[in-house]
Amino acid sequence: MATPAQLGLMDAASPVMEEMIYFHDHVMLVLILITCLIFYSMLVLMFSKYIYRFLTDGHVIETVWTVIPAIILVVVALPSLKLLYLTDELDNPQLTIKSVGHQWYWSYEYTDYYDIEFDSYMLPIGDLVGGDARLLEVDNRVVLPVDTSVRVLVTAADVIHAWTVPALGLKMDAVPGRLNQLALQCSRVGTFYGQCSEICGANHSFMPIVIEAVPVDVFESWCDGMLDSD
Amino acid sequence: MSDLRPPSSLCPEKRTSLSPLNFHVFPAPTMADVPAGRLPKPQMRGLLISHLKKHSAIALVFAMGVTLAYKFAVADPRKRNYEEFYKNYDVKREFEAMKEAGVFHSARPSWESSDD
Repeated sequence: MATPAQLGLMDAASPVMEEMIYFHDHVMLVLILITCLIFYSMLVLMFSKYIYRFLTDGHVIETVWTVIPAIILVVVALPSLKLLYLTDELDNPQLTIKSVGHQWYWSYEYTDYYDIEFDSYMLPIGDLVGGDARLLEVDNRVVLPVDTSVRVLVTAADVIHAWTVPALGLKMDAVPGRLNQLALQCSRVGTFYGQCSEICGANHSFMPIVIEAVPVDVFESWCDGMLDSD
Repeated sequence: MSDLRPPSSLCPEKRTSLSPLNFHVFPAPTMADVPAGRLPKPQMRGLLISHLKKHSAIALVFAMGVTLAYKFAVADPRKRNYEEFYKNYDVKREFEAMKEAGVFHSARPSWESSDD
């Protein structure tokens, strides 16, 4: 999750998020280049006393300052499009889960191999124990196997919500009457937090998402436990 | 009229007394006194363009320098850090450590069940 005074992106927990971080660094290089050029130019021009009285047009300079930004845009756009299509790639998912947004909680369905369904409500402050994150903890977490390609089908039951997990580089609108598909793969074990990202009413800020990435055998044990509890 | 003589090699006569009455004033050195040579001709035209060329080059070098510094100080080390992290990543070891710390709900720590 985010830490206090954090400025950068969260540490990546999926290959796609790693690529997003590298792309962010790539775009930052371009931005730093342009910003330094502009700042230096501004500084020099502020203290310069030279003028050219006979300036009427500048065809060459206008060509230069059109072509160079176009090249810069291409340098940014090509990796961007590559990343965009990478996020849509689904690599033979071994598991499919459904995430349904309600006002104001998420419900999950694991109907591939088992028939597991549960609701996931935010834990109120009074139910938190030491070390829990305020407004982020839920009663029933989404448990997923690590290093496994998972398909998440996102929809909603009432109004538009959005299912988001920043550490995994995931965000998808949950639209009623529509199934949106997400490709998910956790590279490491841990808990990953997210919050609803589409305004959906009074408690929009109080319907978080928590994913637990665990080894496959632990995931299977959890599934057995969920079936037994049903 | 009293003269003030600069104590330099240009002045042929030496001061013989420190009394202020013995100070002599000479006029400032003229062109005839300056050794033979020519001053460089100052730039008369094209000042703006030469100024722009010089500072454009400096701006480019400065911007490229800062960009390369970000690349080698931030971007490349970050890639290496991720590579190093996953090179010897042990899922089981990390999971057990997190489990014992009480991070997971699906797998409770061993000390919790023993307490029960």
